[in-house]
Amino acid sequence: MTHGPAEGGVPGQAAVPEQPSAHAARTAAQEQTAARERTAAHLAQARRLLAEHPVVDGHNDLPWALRKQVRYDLDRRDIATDQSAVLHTDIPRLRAGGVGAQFWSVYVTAELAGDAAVSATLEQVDAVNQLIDRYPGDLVRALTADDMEAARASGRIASLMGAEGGHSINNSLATLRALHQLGVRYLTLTHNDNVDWADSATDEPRHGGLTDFGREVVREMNRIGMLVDLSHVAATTMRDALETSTAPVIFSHSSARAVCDHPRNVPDDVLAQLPANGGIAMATFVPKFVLPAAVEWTAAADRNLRAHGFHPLDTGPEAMALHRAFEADRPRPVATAATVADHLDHMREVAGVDHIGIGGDFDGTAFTPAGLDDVSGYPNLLAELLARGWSNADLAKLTWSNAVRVLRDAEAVARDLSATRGPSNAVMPEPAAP
Amino acid sequence: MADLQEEPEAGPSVGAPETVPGPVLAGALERAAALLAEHPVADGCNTLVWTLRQKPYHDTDTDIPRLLRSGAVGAQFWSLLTPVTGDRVVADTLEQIDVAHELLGRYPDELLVALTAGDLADARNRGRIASFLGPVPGSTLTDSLGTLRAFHTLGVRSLAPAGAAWAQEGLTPFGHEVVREMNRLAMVVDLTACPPDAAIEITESSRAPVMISHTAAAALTRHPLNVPDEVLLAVRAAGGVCMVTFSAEQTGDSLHAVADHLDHIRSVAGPESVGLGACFGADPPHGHPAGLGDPSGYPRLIAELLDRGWPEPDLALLTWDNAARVLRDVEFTSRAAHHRKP
Repeated sequence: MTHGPAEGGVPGQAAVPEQPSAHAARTAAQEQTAARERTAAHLAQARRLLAEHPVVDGHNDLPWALRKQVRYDLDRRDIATDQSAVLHTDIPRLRAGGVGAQFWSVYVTAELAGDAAVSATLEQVDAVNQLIDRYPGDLVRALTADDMEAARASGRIASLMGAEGGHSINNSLATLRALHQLGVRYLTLTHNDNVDWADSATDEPRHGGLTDFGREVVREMNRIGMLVDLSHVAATTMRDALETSTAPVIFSHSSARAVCDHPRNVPDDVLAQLPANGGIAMATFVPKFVLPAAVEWTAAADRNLRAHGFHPLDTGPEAMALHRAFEADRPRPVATAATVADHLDHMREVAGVDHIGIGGDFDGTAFTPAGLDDVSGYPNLLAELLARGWSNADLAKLTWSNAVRVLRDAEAVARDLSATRGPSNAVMPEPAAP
Repeated sequence: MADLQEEPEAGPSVGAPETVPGPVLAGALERAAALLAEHPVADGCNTLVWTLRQKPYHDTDTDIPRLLRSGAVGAQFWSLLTPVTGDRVVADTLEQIDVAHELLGRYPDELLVALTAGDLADARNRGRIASFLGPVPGSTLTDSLGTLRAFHTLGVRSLAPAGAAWAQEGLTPFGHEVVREMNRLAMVVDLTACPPDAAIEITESSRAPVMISHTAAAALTRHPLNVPDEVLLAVRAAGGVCMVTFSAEQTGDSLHAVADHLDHIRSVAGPESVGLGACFGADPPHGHPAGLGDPSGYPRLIAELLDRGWPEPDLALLTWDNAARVLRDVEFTSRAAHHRKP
């Protein structure tokens, strides 16, 4: 990661010694040196900027990785020390990456349903609480925008929580409120599968967006100050939620569909609605969502995994060994910071600079882009954006202030709504007979 | 307290209903009222939360005027048990907690959500009912202490293992973990409806005293919810408290019958391990014994016990002190255990 983001090629290999004239060779070498100096300057500038305006990252799956790898035995994954062999995330690398606030995902697999999903979510919340208590010098619990600012002022990483998938509330608004009480500040309406009240982007459409109960979930989230996260949901659900929500929404980890046509990304018409709504789309780094060539490669690799009896999302050692074997035949297309920057360029153009953010999805994805290999990579992305002419002010919005503003605005909406409306008693209607 | 004396049975000339026994000794009711003013009832069980969730319009026996004034209740455990089982018990328990907070939050002048034994004293000093959330059903915990800690964070201070897979014939290893973690968190173990063997094992393995929030003596009335004497002896040895319910089914259909159960439990478990857990808050026809149909029955019951020769210090233990001691001891154990990790 000492190199800056490459523009297609690999830096350091451009020197071609047998050029016709020494003068031309010297010029090429000089250009290369100049480019490297520019990159270094951008990187230094990015780090200075991050010291002031650290990254608010919308999605990190460290809790789930800790559950899968060591069943929350935090002694075996001391994130105060280097964990780069097994995790994308540890505190030294968060610090190096300039992360100032992290939404820790309390995701649980949609294979869990009913109470099992609720209990597992509570365990995830418990794990985040234990992490925060364990590293009080680096992490601090944050429930509000003010807490985020206080964390920044005290030089600690504001730790927020987001639940990923409506299955975590088991069709119960009281469970939604309990999660909020326990500190969860966003709920992604679905994960990869539909829930009883909302369609997912990666499942067969069942409701055509949100059901009536789904809209009530959104309204109740507005009332209690839980951010509505529209990553993972079908475009129809995005539009229904935007129509229903009176508070700003977020996409905790989604990029632009116009740049890479994948259902996990946000279509332009939805991005264009963000200014009116006030929300943000936080660009994700996951190569299979951001790089068109990687979309195809991933489809093939997933088929390969399934053929060997593994879940496509499995990142265990055996699954990764299979991936490596597969790569020997079909080289994996590698995304770079520039790939992500392409998305951010587009998102800034369509949604506006006030409506974008970053949601890396570290520890939630098998592969990461070159230069954004782990949570220390954010400066490389900023350097790339600086090279593309983004201003310091734009970058400060991207990294910090947009996300803080969204949480603050959602809090204000909740204050207004809860003054006039009590808790919703709506219940999920019994499924109609087919 | 003046209105207490205006209860029908206090004026014989009005013709008291026969089912309501009047005090034999003159002034027993006045003494009971005075005693309750000093030592209000810390009641182990009220099921209003579930009832409210079933019917928005209901005719129940619990309201603040009766709890606070007539009945002189100073502390209340609000039961969050739910008959729901299977795949919705966690979500349903979270709903119970949600409704309880909504209910208790509405009456900040009368009710105080209590989280510690200190809150118990505060509430009493400020004339409010210290309201403890619990128990929640132990069947919510399958293999996860995270869920238990979430309940604790949400304000729950007691859990009933009855019905949980880990407390059937005895405690499974996970059951022992649950009890240890409850000790660490300062949550009360409520052994109501636990099979006797499991109840004794939990009582012995818990480092903090246990509670049986609503029960009666099996020696007098055979009923699945009543406790046999060997459990009473175990509770006595552990310094716990066994709280007698006002249920016609469990105790017999009269105030005298309830007093008989109290007599029996006091003699077996000792005066320091007997308490009251009326189980008000249900909708009729959940039969309470005659004379104990709502919280205004407490003074009548205390008067009856005075008649039976209970010394006043024992009555103070019965109404308040035993429950308060258990809560304090549970907290003390927790502080001693807090060097342990989750």
